[in-house]
Parts: sequence; structure tokens; C-alpha cells
Amino acid sequence: MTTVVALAIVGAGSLAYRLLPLLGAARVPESVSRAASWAGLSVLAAVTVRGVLHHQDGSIPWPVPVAVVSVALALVVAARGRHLLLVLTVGAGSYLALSALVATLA
Amino acid sequence: MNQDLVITRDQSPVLTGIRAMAPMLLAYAPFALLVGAAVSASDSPLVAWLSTWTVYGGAAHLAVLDVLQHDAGVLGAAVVGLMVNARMVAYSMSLAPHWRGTSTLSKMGAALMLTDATWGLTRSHAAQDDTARRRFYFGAGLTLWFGWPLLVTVGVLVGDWVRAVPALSLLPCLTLGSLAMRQLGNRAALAAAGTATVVGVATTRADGGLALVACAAAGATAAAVVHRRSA
Repeated sequence: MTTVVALAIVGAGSLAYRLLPLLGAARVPESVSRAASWAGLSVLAAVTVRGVLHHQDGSIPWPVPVAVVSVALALVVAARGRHLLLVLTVGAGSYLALSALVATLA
Repeated sequence: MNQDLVITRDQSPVLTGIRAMAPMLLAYAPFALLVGAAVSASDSPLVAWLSTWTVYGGAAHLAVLDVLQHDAGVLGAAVVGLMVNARMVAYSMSLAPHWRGTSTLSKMGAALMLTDATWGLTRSHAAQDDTARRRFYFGAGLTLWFGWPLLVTVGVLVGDWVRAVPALSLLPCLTLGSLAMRQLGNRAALAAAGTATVVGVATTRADGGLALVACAAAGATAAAVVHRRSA
């Protein structure tokens, strides 16, 4: 019952988050919309940073620095406007390569 | 005639949206499998699975199920989930101008499909006009709206093996980071992303929902200051 109630609250709240600003679209000023897009971009950046810093890998030493370097390399590729699949390949590939290197050195 | 048909198909914003979202589904697959594994371990797997469409955010879904498993109670779980998904308000507000003058049904459809990937793709997509942008959004959004629950369902059955491949857990970060990079077209956007990165590092140990709200507020404030100075 606890699970049902908690998920119902979060589901209803999440729908309200998404729906209410769009329903009031005519009343959302341009400046607020612009600030919201900056907030959204900030969230994307923060989710990326937190995801990398929380990375866990028990099979290698220093998993977080390895993840930071791999993601940084991949984002350089992304900044050059390359396709997402290439970005993912570079990120995952460099992570595997660096993991092997770090495991050998340790 | 055939050539015209090909050109029309190539330029269809809906198809462009589907094509843009397809590789993201691939990147999100490991995360969706993890969410599926958490759903299957839940007290009420059916309700947890059905809420894939209502919560519609892997991080919030995972956080709520995790909190519930540690007996933190309804209120604790609900607060955590609502905090993690609070970013949807910002996404929805930033899309609002593109939905002015559209039907309530169109707005409701857009709201149902709104999440990080659909928002990020739509923001970084160069559309001819708002109609084309909305069609692109619905192409991308529908692809994820059907694809994400499907992947979560697979995760319910076989999700646990993803934990054995740590490199896969980086794919969602790479996808969202890539979407953020595409939006860094001006100083204000750079200020937002840079500030959010610094605050994100500083709040690494803080609760996820609170930290994201802090990053959003700090990033938007920094961008507003830069925007005002350059205006």
C-alpha cells in the first residue's frame, strides 16, 4: 500500500509539473521561458556531473577519475557536433581502454 | 514525382524526431534495465511498472523505489521523487512559448512525453517554425514514450546483469551531457552550464533532488546576469 500511495503522489505531481506550465502557455512571459531554458540546461549539466562523480566500478582503482576523463573526451566529440552514437562509442571505448590501463598499472 | 516524395520524407519533422531519438533509446537502455530491475524487486511490481508512464523519469522512479525499500515511508519517498522530477517545471515552462495557440489536447500530449531527452533534443533542434518544432517533438517524444517502458519491461525480466557492466552506467550521462553541449551557443548558456557544473561538484554528497534544484537556480541566475550585461 505504501508503494502504491508514494508512486501515485509522485506520478500525479510529475504530471502536474509537466502539464501546468504548458496549459498556461499563453501566460508564461518570454523572460520566464528563457530563464527556464537556462535552468533546464543547468539541470542537464548537473545530472551529467553528478552521474560521473557517483560512478562506481569495483573492478578497477580510481573509477571516478577514469569516468571523468572518458566523459570529458566524449563531450569534446559532442562539442564538435558529431553524432550521438560516436559520442557514446568514444566515451565507452575510452572508459574501457583507461580501465585496462589503470588495472595494469595498479 | 518520386524525387519529390523522397525530399518530403527527408524533411518530415516527425521522422527527424524519431531518427534523433533512436540512438538515445540505445543509450538509455542500460538505465531502463536498472529501473526494471528495481521495479521487479518492489513490493508492488505492477504498480511500480505502471508508474513508468506517470513518473516518466528514470532517476525519480529509481529514487522512490530505493527509498521505499529502505522503509523511509510514503512521505519521504514522495518528497524525494517530487524533488528529483522538479526540473520538469523548467522544461515545461521553456517549451510553453512553442505551444501558444495550440489545442489543450496537443499540450496534454506534449506534457505526457516531456522528459530530459525530449526537451534536450527539441531545444537543440533547429526547426523552421513552431509547427515543425512541435512535430519534431512528437516524433521524438512518441519514440521514447513507447521505447522507455518497453526497455523497463525487459529490465523487469533481466535487468540485474547491467550492474555487472559499470561502463554501461555512463551512457545516460554521456547522452545528457551531449545534449547540454549542443546548447552552448552563447555566453549565457555557457554561464548556466559552467555554474551548474561547479555547483554540481560542490553538492555531490547532497540529496539528488535538492542538488538539482540548487544547480538549476544557480545556473539560471548566472545566465541571467551574463545576459543582462551583454544586452
